[in-house]
Amino acid sequence: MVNILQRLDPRSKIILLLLLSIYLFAITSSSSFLLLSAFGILLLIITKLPLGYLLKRLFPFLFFFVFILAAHYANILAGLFTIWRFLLLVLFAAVLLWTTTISEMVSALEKLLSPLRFFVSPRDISLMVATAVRFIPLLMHETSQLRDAQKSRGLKKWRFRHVSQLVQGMLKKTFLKAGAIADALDARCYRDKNYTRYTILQISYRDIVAAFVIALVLVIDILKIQYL
Amino acid sequence: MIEVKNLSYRLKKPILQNISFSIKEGISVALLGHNGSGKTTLVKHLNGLLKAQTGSVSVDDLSTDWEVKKNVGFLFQNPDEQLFSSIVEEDIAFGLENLGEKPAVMKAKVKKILNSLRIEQLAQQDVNELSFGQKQLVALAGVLVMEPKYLILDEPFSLLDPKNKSNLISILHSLKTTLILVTNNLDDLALVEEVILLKQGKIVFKGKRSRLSKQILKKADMIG
Ligand SMILES: Nc1ncnc2c1ncn2[C@@H]1O[C@H](COP(=O)(O)OP(=O)(O)OP(=O)(O)O)[C@@H](O)[C@H]1O
Ligand SMILES: [Mg+2]
Repeated sequence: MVNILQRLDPRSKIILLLLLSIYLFAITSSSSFLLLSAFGILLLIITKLPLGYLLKRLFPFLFFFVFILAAHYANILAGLFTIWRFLLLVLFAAVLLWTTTISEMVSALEKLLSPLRFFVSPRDISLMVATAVRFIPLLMHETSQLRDAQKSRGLKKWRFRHVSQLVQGMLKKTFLKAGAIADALDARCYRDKNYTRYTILQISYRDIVAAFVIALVLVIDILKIQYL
Repeated sequence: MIEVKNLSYRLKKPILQNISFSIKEGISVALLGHNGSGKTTLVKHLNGLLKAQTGSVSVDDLSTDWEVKKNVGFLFQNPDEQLFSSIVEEDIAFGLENLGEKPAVMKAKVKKILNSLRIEQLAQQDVNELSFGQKQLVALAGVLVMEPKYLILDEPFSLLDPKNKSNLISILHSLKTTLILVTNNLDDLALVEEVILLKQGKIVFKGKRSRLSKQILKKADMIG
């Protein structure tokens, strides 16, 4: 089943979740935290985001969280709030990633950068992101192949020169691959002017509703501060 | 017609020496030669990826590089190095985007090419999750969708298993595009009418496939 967030324009998702995340750093009261957390949980339910997926995103931050707590040694409560902020931030980011395909992200990036087109080429940048997403896993795979090759030739104990061998091998491969990719781009007539796009992004009534919902959350929170 | 006149190319050592030949539209050609004989370097000149250092290359009297690339498609050996998007149909559309086609036209063309290569079920798939044979077909689709007059294939079978190879061969047989097939496998010559045979950067034979003799192949180090 497609959920409403998957059907939003990726640009509005990025902007709205960004807005929410910025607001996250402005709040201080626990009631605000509760409100935003409730909203975050609502998002989790709507998007049916698996908890495992979320935990996987959170895992790299664990060390960071311990560090924050240690830094707030004198005021554990403040430390906990900071961690809570990051948890919500990761949650919003996970919702965005979960409901948006890579190519939607790339198209959105290209469109969002278009006001800057006199300084940078949005198509070049979005292509860079797209090729990175596609080729980094390939290069990682090749690195492990190279390492296996070293091991299969009897390498037991890693010494500096083995690491240096590995790095040199990978650099060489990367440059060769980059050359091949550049040729392949060229052969398919790549250009960053007078091109069209296959994926068309379109703002619909859903995006307006989403913007309204976010605005509502923020307004409720702000009013609550003034009237309570 | 693609016309190559007195083409030479050297880096530290001479790689192509005084190459001349022409390829007529509708007559498919194989470029045959041992490893390192200069096949790839030569075909990269045919669609403008490399510029002639001496001599000249012309394609149908087209004046710009971009038009040449549009008319001379290039399928590389390794499909992993020519798929840029993560979704199959978007990758196939990549060339059309660069040609500035309207979205509706692109949709129709992508659909048509997916059907003709019998890979419509892959349209929405993640490129990284395809098998190697499937990737090669997607890469081919991305080139064919631009409707090139000529199609360069640089050892397209060398990384495919027999089943995928015979599938690709039957697809190539059905194409109307003029093929320029780079190979060092004599079995692949069934796909073409004419052969250009290279040895160490020089042409040792060009002409009808039927005129290719054992002696000539031996001389070019193609058979032992
Ligand atoms: N960028 C380069 N720098 C230096 N030498 C190169 C370069 N590219 C090709 N060569 C040399 O040019 C010669 C021809 O190479 P080319 O790749 O065209 O041969 P090939 O016939 O395609 O070989 P293969 O069958 O192995 O693909 C080889 O000797 C190669 O070492
Ligand atoms: Mg080659």
